[in-house]
Parts: sequence; C-alpha cells; structure tokens
Amino acid sequence: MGDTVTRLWTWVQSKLEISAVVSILIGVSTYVGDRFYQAYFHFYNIDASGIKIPLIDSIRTFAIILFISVCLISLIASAKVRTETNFFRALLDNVPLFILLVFFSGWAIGFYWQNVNTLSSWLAGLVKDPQLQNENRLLTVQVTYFLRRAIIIAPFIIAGATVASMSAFRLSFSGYLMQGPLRIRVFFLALYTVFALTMASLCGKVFAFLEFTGAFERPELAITLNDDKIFQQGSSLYLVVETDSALYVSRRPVGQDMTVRSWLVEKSHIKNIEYRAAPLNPKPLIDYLEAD
Amino acid sequence: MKQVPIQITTRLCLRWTLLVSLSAVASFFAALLSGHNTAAHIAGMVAGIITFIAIYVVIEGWAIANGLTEFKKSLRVGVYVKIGLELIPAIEVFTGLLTVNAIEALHIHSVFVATYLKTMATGAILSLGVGVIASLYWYYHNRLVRLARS
Repeated sequence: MGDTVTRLWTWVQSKLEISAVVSILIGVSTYVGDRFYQAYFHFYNIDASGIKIPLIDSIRTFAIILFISVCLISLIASAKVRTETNFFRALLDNVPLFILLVFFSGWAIGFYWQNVNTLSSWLAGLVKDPQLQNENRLLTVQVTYFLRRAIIIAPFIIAGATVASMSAFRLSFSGYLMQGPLRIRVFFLALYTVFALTMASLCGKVFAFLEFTGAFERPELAITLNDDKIFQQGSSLYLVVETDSALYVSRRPVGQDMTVRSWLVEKSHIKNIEYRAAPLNPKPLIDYLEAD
Repeated sequence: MKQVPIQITTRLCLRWTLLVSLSAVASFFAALLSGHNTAAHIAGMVAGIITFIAIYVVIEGWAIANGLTEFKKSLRVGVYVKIGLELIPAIEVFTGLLTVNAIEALHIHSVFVATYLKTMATGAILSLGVGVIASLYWYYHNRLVRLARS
C-alpha cells in the first residue's frame, strides 16, 4: 500500500510542473481575449461591462493564444532531449526568446514613450520662458515621431539580432531553460504571462485604431430614427458592436479631426438601418503615423 | 601587500561592451534627436562610451583577480539598475542639463572634446547614483547572508 502511494506521489510530482503550466496557459488564453476586448472598447470609450462577446470570437482568440503558447512550450520542452546543436536547431530553440524579446522591447518603448509624454507635460507646466516651452514642444514632437516608428520596427530588429547572434554561437535559450533550475522556467512563464496580457491590450488598441482609420473594411451605416431623422447625418458611421438592445456606433476621422466619437443607439429608437459599402480610404495609413 | 595582475578576457570585454551600450542607448538616441548629430558629436559620445567600457572592464578584472565575487556581482546589479532607469527619461534629462550647463561654462571650442566631457560627466553622475544602489545591495546582501548563517 505504502509503495503504491509513493509511486503515485512520484508520478504526481513528475506531472505537477507540466499540469501547472497547462492550467496557467489555459487561464492566460482565456484572460488574454478579455484584455483584448477591454482595450478595444476602451479605445471607443465604450463601457464593456454590459457587452457580451460572441462565443465564436471568444473561442477564436482563446484558440490562437493557446496554439501559440503550446507551440512555444513544445519548442522549449524538445530542447531537453537534444545533445547536439547546429545553427538552425539553435535558431528554432531561440524562437521563444524572440517572442519574449519582441514583447519586452515593445513594452519598454511604450513605457518610455509614456514617460516622455509625462515629462513633457510636467516641463510645460514648470517652464515659463516661451522659448524653452517651444523647445520642449519641438523636442517632444521629434522624440515621439521617432518612437512611433521605433515601436513598430525596433522590437523585431532587437529580437532578430539577439536571436541570430545567439544562434551563430550555438547558444540555445530553450536548452538553458530546460537544463536550469525550476525557478528559471517559472520566471520565464511569469514573464510570458505578463507580456502576453500587456500585448493583448496593445493589440486591442491597435486593432481599434486600424478600424477607426479605415484600414479594415467596415460597411457604413445610415440609421433612420423613429422620428425620420438620420442619425449623425454627414458622418461616416460604422458599427462597433451590437447587443440585444442597442448598437454601438462610431465615426471615421473627419479631415484632421482624429477625435474618437462613439454613440449608443437604442434599437427601440431605430426605424431603419441601411448598410453601404465603405468608401475607399484615400489617406494612407502611414500618414496617421506621421501626423502629429 | 601583494599586487595581483588584473585579468582581462575577451568575454569580459564583450559583456561590458553589451552592458554599457545598453545602458547608454536611450541617452545616445535622445542626444541625436536633440540636435547633437554631427560627426564630431557622435565621435565624442562613442569615445565616452568606449571609455566607460574600458573603466568597467578594468574594475571587474581587478575584482576577479582579487576574488571579490560579491563586489563583482554588485557592479553588475548596478549596471542592470542603470539599464532599467533608462526607461525614465526624466533622470537622464536632469543629469544631462546639469552637465551640459557645467561643461558649457568652461567655453570649450572643440565640439568633440565638449561632447566627450559631457558624456563622461553624465555617465559619472549616473554611475555614482547607481554605485550607491549597488553598495546598498552589497551591504544588505552580506547582512542577509550573515543572518542566514547565524
């Protein structure tokens, strides 16, 4: 009896780490989707608490995140049984590091950007000399212009250069993780979890921004209200989300006005909705990045 | 007292090149964006960074030769802290303002020399701050080790 319990306990211990990892990944995958939609609705200033995300959308986000996570874990775990490493094998082993570095660099640049804005507004309040104020404004514009590009390009350059250099020296990140103590793997998993959640929010914002600028095709809406008036006539409206009782709509940017405006329209107040194909966006996306 | 020769290896040089470059990258780009982007400016900044790499290599080489493992560790902790602090531009901006005003008061005509001195002075002030953090780490780490042993 005692022997059976010992064997069972040994088996449980051996499976404990992998079970914990799987449980955490499933939890993270579920939560990542939630963070994505929270950030998406936050962009439109919509209170997301009363909105139910369609089940199919939730499942799709969950499946994508879980698939990526499982691929990463498999890549790391397969490094345990390998004895020899060549450049391409090391490159494959370093894919998890690439993803982690992309997340980390993106986060670091975003954090720096946020601090630049804080510093700039603080200096604007502190400095009274108009010339210095102007210099502060000009420098902030220059730095944020640079950071806008850096946040898109730099994470991939930093991660790519690091992974390529490590692979050239046949250094395997996955091998290091698997051969090292448990605490290093736990630390990596914690980092991955934190960055996956942060990036989910960022992706939600980026997705909403692209939708707002017209990079994605969204049909234009013409809403006729019960009193025969056209809702927000003259604006290029599109549907953000539909609930049982209401529609949340937003409008595309008008000229230089990039203010995000969204409205809740009760279905009971709507007489008719007309869907039209969205006009082609005449402004290239890069112009939005360059605009300040 | 016996003099121990300083041990300098390629690995040590590579490590400090990476760490010092990482700890200077934000300031370097900020300087480029704020108009310090002529060849003389860039050469001055790069020379300053190389000087710091050499200084850190010599210090760690000395620590290794004398078996000062904890000192070596705290030196690295200090640089990691410095890399992290780069994400807060206010620190670099105020240190930079301080050193720029001090160096400009000297009325140095050579752009290269002025930029080199500014880089060195900014780095020295930040290293001093980081040195205090590293010393605190060293002190508390030693106290904790002693507590654990007793």
